[in-house]
Amino acid sequence: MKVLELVGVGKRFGALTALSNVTLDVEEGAIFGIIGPNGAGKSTLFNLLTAIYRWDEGSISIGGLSIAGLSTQRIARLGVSRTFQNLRLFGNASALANVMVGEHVLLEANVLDSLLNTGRERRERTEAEKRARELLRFVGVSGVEEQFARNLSYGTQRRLEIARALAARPRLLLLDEPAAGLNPSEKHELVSLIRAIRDGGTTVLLIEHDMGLVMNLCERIAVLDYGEKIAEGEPREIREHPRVIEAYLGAPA
Amino acid sequence: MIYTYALVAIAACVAIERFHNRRAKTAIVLLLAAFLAIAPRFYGNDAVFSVLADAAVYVMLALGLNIVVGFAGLLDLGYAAFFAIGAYTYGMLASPQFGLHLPFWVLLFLAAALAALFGALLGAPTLRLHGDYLAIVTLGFGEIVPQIFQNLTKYTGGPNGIAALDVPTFFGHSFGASVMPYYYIALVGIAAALWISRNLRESRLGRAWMAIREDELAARHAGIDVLRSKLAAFAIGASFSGIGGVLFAAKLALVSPDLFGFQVSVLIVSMLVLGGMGNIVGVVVGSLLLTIVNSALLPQINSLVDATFHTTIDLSNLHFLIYGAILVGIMLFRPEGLLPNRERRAELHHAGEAAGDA
Repeated sequence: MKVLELVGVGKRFGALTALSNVTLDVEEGAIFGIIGPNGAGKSTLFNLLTAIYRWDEGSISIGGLSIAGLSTQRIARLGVSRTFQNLRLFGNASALANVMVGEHVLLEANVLDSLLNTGRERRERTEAEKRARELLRFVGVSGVEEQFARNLSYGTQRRLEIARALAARPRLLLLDEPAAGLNPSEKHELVSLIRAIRDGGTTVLLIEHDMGLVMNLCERIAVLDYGEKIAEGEPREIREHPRVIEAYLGAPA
Repeated sequence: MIYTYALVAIAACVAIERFHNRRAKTAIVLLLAAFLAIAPRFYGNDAVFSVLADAAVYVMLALGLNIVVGFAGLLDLGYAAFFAIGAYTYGMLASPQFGLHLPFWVLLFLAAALAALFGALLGAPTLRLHGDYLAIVTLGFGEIVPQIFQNLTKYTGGPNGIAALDVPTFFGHSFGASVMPYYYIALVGIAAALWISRNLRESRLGRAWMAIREDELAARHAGIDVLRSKLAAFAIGASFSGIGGVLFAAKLALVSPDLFGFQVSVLIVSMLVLGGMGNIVGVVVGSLLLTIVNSALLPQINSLVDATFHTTIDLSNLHFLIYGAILVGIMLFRPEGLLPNRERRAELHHAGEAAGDA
C-alpha cells in the first residue's frame, strides 16, 4: 500500500525550476530517504506535501487521496506530521504543552467544552497529558516535562519536536534533516529512535545530509539534483549509481 | 475606604500568585469573595461602591481583552468598540428611545451574544493579518463604531446619546438609586470571567491559542484551524465587554459615543501591560490599580493640590500624561508587568536566562 504517491510533480518560483517531473512512491512502513546537494529541491518537496506551497504540475496523493487544494491543517488531519529543518517549537511553553498541542487532531473537545471545562474536556486533557509524558519518555527526554522548550539543549529540542509530531499518531512522518547539529552518539540514538517509530507503524520520509546515517537507516533512497530525481533505489544501488557520484563529486574531467 | 477594598483585593491576588498550594489558593479566593460580599454591610458608602462597581466592570473588560491579546496573541486596539456595542444594546432596547423596555437580565446575555457576533464579524476579514497590520485594522474598527453611534442620530440620539435608561429590576424590586446591585452583579461577572478564563487557559482551545501565539506555521502543521481559533478568541473576548457595557450603561443610565473612544481601548490595553499580559491574576491587579488611580487617587490629589495652593487645576486633563508615565516606567523597569506569568517572564528575560544557563 502506498502512503505517498507523487506523479510528475513540478514547481517553479518565477524563472527558477525548483522541482521538475518528480515521480515517487513511498510504501507503507518504509523508512524512505531523500538526499541531494543543497538547493536540489528537497525542502521544497516537503513544503509541497504540507501545502506551504502549491505545485504547478503533476499530482500528489496521500493514502490514495489527492491533496490538491487541501490546506496545511487538513493535511495534518490526514495523518501527516513533520519536523522542521530549523526547529519550530513553541519556545515559551513547557515541553509537555508542546507535545499536547501535537495531540490536537486526536481530541474532540469543542469551544463549548473548553469554555465550561466539561467532563469531555477534563477527560481528554488527562489522557492527552498521560500520552504526552509517555511520548517524551519514548523519544528519550523524560524529566524535562515542565521546562520551557527554549531552555532545553539543542539535541533535546530535536527530540521534543519529533515527540510533538508523533503525538498526532501520524501515518506519515516527515523529518527535515533530523540529524543536523547532533553529535555522533546523538545520531546513533536518533537512528534507533527512527527505527522504533517505524516499528510502531508510522512510515518515515526523511531529508538528510549525513550520508552515513541515510545509508545505514533508510531502506530506500531517492536522489534529487537541480529539482530532478536522478536516482532511486536501495542504499547499495545509490552508492554506486554513476549520476549520484557525479552529482556529489562533480563530473569527471 | 476605597483603598481598603482595593488593597485587600490586590493583596489577595499577590498571595494567590505566591502560593503554589491549591488548597491555599482556593482558601484565599473564598476569603476574598466573602470579604467583598459581606464587608459592604458594615463599611463604605455609595460613592465608594460606585467606584468599585466601575472598577469591577473594567476588570471584566480587561479579562476579556486578555483572552484576545494575552492568550491568542492578537493585538486588538479597538476593544472599546465591543464595550460600546454592549452599552448601546441596553441603551436602545431599554429606554424611551424606541419605547422598548426589555429586561436588564435578558439584555445582559443578548449584549454578550451581540458583542460576540460583532467580534466574529470583525475577525472574519482581518484575521489573516498579523501583528502591526491587525492592530491597525482593529484600531480602525474601534474608531468606526463610536462614529456610527454618533452619526445614526435617528436611532442612537447622535452625539447626545440616549438618556433616562431603564432602571433594572430584580424580581420586581427596582434597583432604585442604589449602586450596590451593580457592585454585586459585577462581582458575580468577574467570578464568571475568572472561571471561564481559567478553563480556557487549560483547555484544548487554550493550547491552540498558545501554539498560534508562539508559531502560527507550526500550529497549522499540528492540524489547528488557525482562523477558527482566532475567531473564537475574538468572539469570547468581545462577549465579556458586551456584558460590561450593559452594566456600565445601566448604572450610568446614559450612553453617549464619547464614552467609548480610543482612550478606553488604550486604557484597557494599559491594564494588561501593567498587570502582566496573559496572566489572569495579573490582569485583575493591573485593572484595579489603574481604575483606582483614575477614579479615586487622581481626583483626591487634585482637590488636595487645589486646597493647598488655592488653585482650580483640572488634573483630569493630565490623566494621559500620568498613564504615559506609568507605562514608560513599567516598560523600563518591569516589562513583563507587575504579576507576569512564567511565559512572559521567560520571553522578556530570555537574554539574561540564556546567559545564566550557560
